[in-house]
Amino acid sequence: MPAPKDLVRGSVVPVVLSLLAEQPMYGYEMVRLVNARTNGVLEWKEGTLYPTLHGLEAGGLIKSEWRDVKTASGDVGERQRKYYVLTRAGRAELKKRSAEWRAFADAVGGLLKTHAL
Amino acid sequence: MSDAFEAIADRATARLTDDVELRLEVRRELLTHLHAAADHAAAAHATSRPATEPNAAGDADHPTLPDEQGTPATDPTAAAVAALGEPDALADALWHTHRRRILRRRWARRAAVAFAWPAGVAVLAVLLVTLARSAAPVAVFVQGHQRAAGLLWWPIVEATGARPMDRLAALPANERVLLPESYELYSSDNEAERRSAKAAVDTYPNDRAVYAAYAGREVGISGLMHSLPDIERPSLELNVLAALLAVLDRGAVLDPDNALYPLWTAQALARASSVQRRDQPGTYFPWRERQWRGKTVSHASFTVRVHDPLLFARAVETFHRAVAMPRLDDYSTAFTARRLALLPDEHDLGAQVMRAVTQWNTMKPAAHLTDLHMTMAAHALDLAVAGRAAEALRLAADVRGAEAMSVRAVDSVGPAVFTLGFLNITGHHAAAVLNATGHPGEAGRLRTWTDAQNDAFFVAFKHRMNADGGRRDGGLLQDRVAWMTPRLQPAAGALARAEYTLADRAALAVVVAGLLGLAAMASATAGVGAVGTGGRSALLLLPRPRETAGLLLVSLALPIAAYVLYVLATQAGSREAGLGDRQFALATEYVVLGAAVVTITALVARRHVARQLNAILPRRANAERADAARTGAAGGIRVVGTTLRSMAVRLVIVAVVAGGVGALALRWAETRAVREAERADGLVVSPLIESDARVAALQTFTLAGLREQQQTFAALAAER
Repeated sequence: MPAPKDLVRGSVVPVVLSLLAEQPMYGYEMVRLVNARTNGVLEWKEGTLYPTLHGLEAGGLIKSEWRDVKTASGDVGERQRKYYVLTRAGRAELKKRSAEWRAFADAVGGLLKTHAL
Repeated sequence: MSDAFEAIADRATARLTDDVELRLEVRRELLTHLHAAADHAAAAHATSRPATEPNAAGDADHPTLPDEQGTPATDPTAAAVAALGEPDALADALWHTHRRRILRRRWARRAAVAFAWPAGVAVLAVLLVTLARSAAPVAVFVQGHQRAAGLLWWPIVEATGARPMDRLAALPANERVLLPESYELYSSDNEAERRSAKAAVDTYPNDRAVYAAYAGREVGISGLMHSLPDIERPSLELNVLAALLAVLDRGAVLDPDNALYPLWTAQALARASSVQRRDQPGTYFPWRERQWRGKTVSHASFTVRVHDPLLFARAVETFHRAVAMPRLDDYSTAFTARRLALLPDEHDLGAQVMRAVTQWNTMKPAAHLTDLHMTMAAHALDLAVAGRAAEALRLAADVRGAEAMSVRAVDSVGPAVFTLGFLNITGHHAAAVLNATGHPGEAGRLRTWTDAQNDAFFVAFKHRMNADGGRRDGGLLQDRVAWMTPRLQPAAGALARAEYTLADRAALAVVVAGLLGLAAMASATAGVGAVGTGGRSALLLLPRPRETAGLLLVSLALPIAAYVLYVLATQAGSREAGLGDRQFALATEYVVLGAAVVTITALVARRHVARQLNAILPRRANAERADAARTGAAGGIRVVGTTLRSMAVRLVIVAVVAGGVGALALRWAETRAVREAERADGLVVSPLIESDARVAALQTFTLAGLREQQQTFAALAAER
């Protein structure tokens, strides 16, 4: 079941930072990973990712670089993709956002649990 | 597929048109996204692979990337477009994200268009005008030389209204009349100078200094200050003689105990009645030459051929009378001080130049009696050889006495050269007189003294000429000013530096003009490119902090590199030559310097353009660039045009920063040098020659010797 849009929107930044903490990625790769890992719960409209990425880059949390793509045949340089890399500031932001998210999720979870009882 | 993706990318980036670079960058990213999505959709449709297998799109960099499961995309293009989302909403989101940058650029572009070019042109104009105003006074040194620089400068001087004479316009007539008619260093308009000097006399009829300056001008115009050996006929016409004697007689009435007027009268009479001829057989001098420091020094002897005995006898009689007078004073020091006091109290190079020229152009007639001394010494030897020993010895005594008066009367280096530097000729004639009248011992002593004095003169003179480290390098001011007064050596050096700032400013103007020219060329090229696209084009100004830093770095590095090139490669930059000569060579060097800077800048800019294109356009070069040029929001021509225009604006900014900072720095350097010159006595009237130890010592030594020799000759004459 896809998550509501406002919840998805609120989670985009920490999710992107979290993904880039693993390794540099390009936009389409992030979309597919998120969709795959959340079984479609976080269903991103692919285009909406790019304004977020550009905003994070403008804020210095991530940086980008064009890289050659290695094809299956081993050829390099025919195509390029724009990869995003987490910066030191981005790492600190991720830590902060993760803590905030956990605190938020715990609080909301606790409230919802009480209500369910 | 490609056309559909291009259309989507165009719509999604439609609101970024004010920032072409950003739009192309985003567009490119979206296209790669769409292509990747389509490839995956096509692969998913073609094969029913397990989710964990490497995708079929050809990516090997993330082999574990899970494929989309259950995507029912039968049309990969439509699937990719649909997955991207609504393009107009994406366009709004992208605008919202980048609006600050776009707005910033929009304003920067407007500011650049509004201010960069006008600022660049203004900097160049200010540079040229201030250069012209500083150079204008210096031009007084070149007019009359008929140098190319003079022809080039004077129109600028006229245009800037910075002529030296303009500074004197506000002076009252009774003060202006005391100043030189012309501020050319080598004025050739004798008649104007004579009128000016006469006008001063008419204004101050009883002023001895003013009259001495006028009489000196008349004497100078008549040519009496130059030696004319080995001519056939007397060079002074009788009608000229009469007019000149009238002037000198009036001076003698005004200043009766001053030997100046009778000495010049004697010189005029001698010049009108006799000629000096070289004693070719060398019968007078047993000593023809001597060795000094490995060089052979020749001694020339002269005889006087009298054409008008009566007139010449009057010359000799007047000479004797003059030497008996108590003093010789041409008032040049006092008169120069009066003139300098009248000059505007300004603290710039122009004022200093006027002071230098005032000092240089003030007549110093007491120092230019060398030809009279030589005539009388040669005549004394003629008398001695003819057996008229008493007359010869008496005349020789007075020659020494007259020379002593001249040595005492001078107060600056230039005249000192005349009074101290030619004593070897008269000294050897005097020694020959002693030899011919039967005093070989006295003759030997006098020869020894004369040679020693002459050697000391050359040592002092050479030291004087090398006092600034041997850098007498053709500077217009340094050469003249250093010549005038020993104590002003620091002033001469400082003025030379001030003069060199003119050369530096000219070089800077060439570089700034070159940069602006290059920018104009790039801008024109961009304009031609823009015509092909017919659309608006944005400027790539200050795109990112890194590139902004690069721009600032270039603003600093380029002028520094140009300055290093200037110092290493040009004569003015390396201080090998000032503005005094080799001006064609200097101008050529400036052109080459400007061309080198522009070429290097163009090469750097070309790299910049290539880098921008490589960054913006896909690297699948030919096909995709052609594609980009044919389609899309910007297109290849548009990209090149925009990049060139961006480069042009950056070059203008560099020119503004470098030109502005450089102009201020050089102006400061000139002011500092002028202040230093002022502190070094500021060319305020020539200080006494005693301040230079070597010349002063030589003067003291020479004066004592001449006085002693005068007494010796007089005593020997009395014995006859």
